Amino acid sequence: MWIQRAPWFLILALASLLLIAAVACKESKKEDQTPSGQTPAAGVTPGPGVTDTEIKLGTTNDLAGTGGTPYGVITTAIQAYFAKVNEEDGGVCGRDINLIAEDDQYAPALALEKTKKLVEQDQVLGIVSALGTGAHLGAVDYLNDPNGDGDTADGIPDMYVSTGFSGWGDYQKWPWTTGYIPDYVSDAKILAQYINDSHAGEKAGILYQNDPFGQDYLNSIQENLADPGLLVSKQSYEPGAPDVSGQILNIKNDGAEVVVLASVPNNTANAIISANTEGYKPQWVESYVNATTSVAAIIGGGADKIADGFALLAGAVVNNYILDAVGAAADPAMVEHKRIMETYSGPGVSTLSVYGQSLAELEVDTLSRACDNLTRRGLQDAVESTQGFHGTLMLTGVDVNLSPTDHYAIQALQPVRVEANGTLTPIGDVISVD
Amino acid sequence: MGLGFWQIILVAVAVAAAVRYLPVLPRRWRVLASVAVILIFACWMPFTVGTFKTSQMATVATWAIVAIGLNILTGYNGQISLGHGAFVTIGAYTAAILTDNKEHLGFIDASAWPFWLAVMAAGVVAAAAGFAVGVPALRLSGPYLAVASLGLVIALPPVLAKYDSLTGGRLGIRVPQPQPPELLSDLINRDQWFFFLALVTMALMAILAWLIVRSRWGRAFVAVRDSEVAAMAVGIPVARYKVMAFTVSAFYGGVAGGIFMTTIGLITPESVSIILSINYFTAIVIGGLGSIMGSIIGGFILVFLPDLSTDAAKVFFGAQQGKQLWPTVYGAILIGVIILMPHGVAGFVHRFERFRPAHVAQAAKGLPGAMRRTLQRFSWAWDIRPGGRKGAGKS
Repeated sequence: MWIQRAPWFLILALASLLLIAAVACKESKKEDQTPSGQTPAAGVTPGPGVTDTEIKLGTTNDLAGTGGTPYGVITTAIQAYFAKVNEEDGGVCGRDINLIAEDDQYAPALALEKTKKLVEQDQVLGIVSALGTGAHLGAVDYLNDPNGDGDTADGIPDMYVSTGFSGWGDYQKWPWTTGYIPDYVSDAKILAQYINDSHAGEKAGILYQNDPFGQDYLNSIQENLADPGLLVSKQSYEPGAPDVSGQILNIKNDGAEVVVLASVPNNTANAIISANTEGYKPQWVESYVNATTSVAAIIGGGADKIADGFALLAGAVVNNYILDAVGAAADPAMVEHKRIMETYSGPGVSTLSVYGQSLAELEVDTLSRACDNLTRRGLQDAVESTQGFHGTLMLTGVDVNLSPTDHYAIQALQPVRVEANGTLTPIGDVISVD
Repeated sequence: MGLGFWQIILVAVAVAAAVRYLPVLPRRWRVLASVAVILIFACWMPFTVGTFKTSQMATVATWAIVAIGLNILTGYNGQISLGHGAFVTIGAYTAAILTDNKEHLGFIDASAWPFWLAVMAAGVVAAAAGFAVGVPALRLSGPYLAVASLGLVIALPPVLAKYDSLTGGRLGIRVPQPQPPELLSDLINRDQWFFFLALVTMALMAILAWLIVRSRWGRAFVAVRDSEVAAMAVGIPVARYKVMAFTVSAFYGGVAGGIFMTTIGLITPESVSIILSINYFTAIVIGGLGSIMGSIIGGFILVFLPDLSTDAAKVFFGAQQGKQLWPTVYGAILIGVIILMPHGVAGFVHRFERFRPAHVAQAAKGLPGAMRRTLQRFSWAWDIRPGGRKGAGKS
C-alpha cells in the first residue's frame, strides 16, 4: 500500500516542490526588478535596457542543441568578446554590454516567445544575431511591429541575424531587420562565376536541399552559369535526409565534372564519402554554410580524425569571408581571438567562434556610433549608417556597408580551395556583389 | 505590480486548495468554488504580470487543449499516440489557409473567414484526419500504436513542404492576426485578447471533456481501456469507440492548432516539432493520465518546465553553463517526478485528498521498514555476485 511508502513519497515530493518553489520565487523577484536606474544622460533620454552602467542586448539561439544544430557556441563566442570589451576596453559608451541569451530550441514559436521575453521582461535595447531562418521567421514580425497595429515606428533593432535567407534584406517589409552573413543568392552567384572562369565548358551538377536555402542556390546557379545547358544534373534531398548516395550516383551517371553542394554539413560529408566509395572525383563546389572544420570532422568520423576528413575534402572550393580557423592560426588577429576565447570562457577556436567574434566586433562598432542617442531609433540609425567597417577577423577586402535601403551586411566573398592539411588557399580576389 | 508571476500562481493554488479542502463551504460547492477561484485568478493575471507572461499563459491554455484531447485517447481509452503534433499542425494549417487573405481553395476561402469559425473548421478537419487514422489504428495497440502514430508527425512536414502552392512550402503561411474587438480595444491589448481567446476555448473544451467522460461514451472508453474482452462481453462496440476516441482527440488537437496559429501569426511545417509532439505525451503522463486537471497541469509543464529547468541549472552550473545544460535538469526532473508520482501530479493530488493526519503517525512508525524494503528493492543494483538477485526484492 502506498501509505507504507508514504514517508519517502511525501518527503521527497515535498522537498522537490519546495525546491521548485524556491527557484520560482527567486526568479519572480528578479522579474520585479524592472530597470530603475534610467537617469537621463546628457542630451537624449536613453532607451529601454540602457542604464548609466549597462547596455542590455538580447539574442536567441539553439543554445543547448536540442534543435539539432551545433550553433550554440556562436552565442558563447559573442559573450566572450563582449566580456573582453567590458573588462579590457571599459565597455562601450562608458557602459558594459550585457547580452542576455535565450534558448529557442530552433523552433519558430519558441523564438517568438523568447524574443517577447527579452523585449518585454528584460527590456533589451535590441536583438543581435538571432539565429536560424525558420526560427527567426517566427519572431521577425513581432520585432518590426510589436503591437501589430501595422505601424513599424515602435520596432526593435533586429541586428545582424545569423541566417543567409535572402528575404531579410526586404527593408520595406522589415525595416528593423539587418542580415549579417552573405545571403545564399550572392554566394551562389560567386560560385557560378568561379565555375565560369575555371571550369568553362565542363558539365556541372548540383545537389540541393529542398527548402528555401537549397532553392536559393539552384535558382542563382542556373541564372549565373555562362551556359545553363551545361547544368546536366539537378538532384535534391529533403532536409534531414540521412543518405544522399543515390543522388550522387545519378550526378555521376549524368557525367558532371563540377558538382555544386547546396547542402548542410551532414549531407555534404555524406555526399563526399559516397562519391569516394564510387571512385567518383569531381570538382566539389560548396555552399559556405559548410564550415570546413565541421565537414572534415564529420567525414573523418570525429574531431580527432579531422585529418582523415581533410584528406577527402581536399580540392573542394568554398567561399570565405572570415579568417580560416585552421590555416590562419598564426595571424595576429587569430592569436588574439584565441586568447579572448580562452580568457573569457568562450568556446574552442573553430569557424563558428571566429564568426561569433566577427559579428560581435561589428555590434560593438555599431553601439559606439550610437553613444549620443542610445535609443532604439538611434541604434537603428547607427546600424544603417555603417560604412566601410572592417573587423579584425574579416578577410582583406570584406567591408560592411549598410544604408536605410541596404540591409545586407557582408556582401563580399573570396573563393578558396581546401587543402589536405586543412588550410584554405585563395583562388582569386575578394568578389563584392554589393 | 506587487506580486510576481509565480507568487500569484502559488497564492491561486493555495486559495483554491483552501476552498476545496477546508470546511468553509458546503461540500457540494467546494469543487466548483475552487475552479471559480482559479478562473478568477486567471482572468486577473494578464493585467498584472506583463505581456510576456500573458502570452506564455496563452500557450499554456493552448497546449492544455491538446493535452485534454490526448488524455481522452490515452488516459481514458488506453490508446497511445506520440503523433498528436500532426493533428495540431493539420488544424493550424486549416485555420491559416482559411484566414489568410489569399485564395487557395477557390470558393471556400475566397474571403478571409472570421478566426473563430476557422478554429472550429480546424477542429473538424483534424477530426476527419483523426477518424482516417483511427480506423487503421484499430489493428494496433500499445507500443505498436505508439510507433505508428509517431510516423504521422514524421511524415507530415515533407508533405506540407511539397504542396507549397497551398501551404507556402517551408516558409509556411503568415496570417494577419485578429485585433481585439472595438468594444474592448480600450481595455485590453492584443496579447491579453489572445490569452482570453485561449482561456475561454480551453474552458469550453474542458467542460466538453468533462461531459464526455461522464457520459455513456466516457464509460465505454474506460471499459475498453480496462479490458476489451470484458467490454465486448457487455455489448460495447469496441472498434466504434476506439475510432471515436481518436476522432474526438484529434478534434481537440485541431482546435488547439487553430488557436496556436492565431497567437503566433505563422505556421510552418516545423512549428510543431517531433520533440514537441512527444512532449504532449510526456505532459499528460507527468500531469496525470485520466484527469482533466492533469491535462491542464500538463500545459503548464510544457511551457514552464524548460524555463524552471534553466533556472535550476543556473543554480547548479552557473549562469552561462546553465543555459546549455538545462536539458539535463529537465530530464532529471522528469525521471524524479515519474518515480515519486507514478500517477502524475494529478494522481498525487488525489492521493493527498485521501490523506488523514492519523496516517502520518502510522507512516512514521513504518519508516524504518519502508527504508529497509526500498533498499532491498534496489539491492540488485549493487549486488554484483553472480546470481545475487536471488531472494532479493521479495519482501
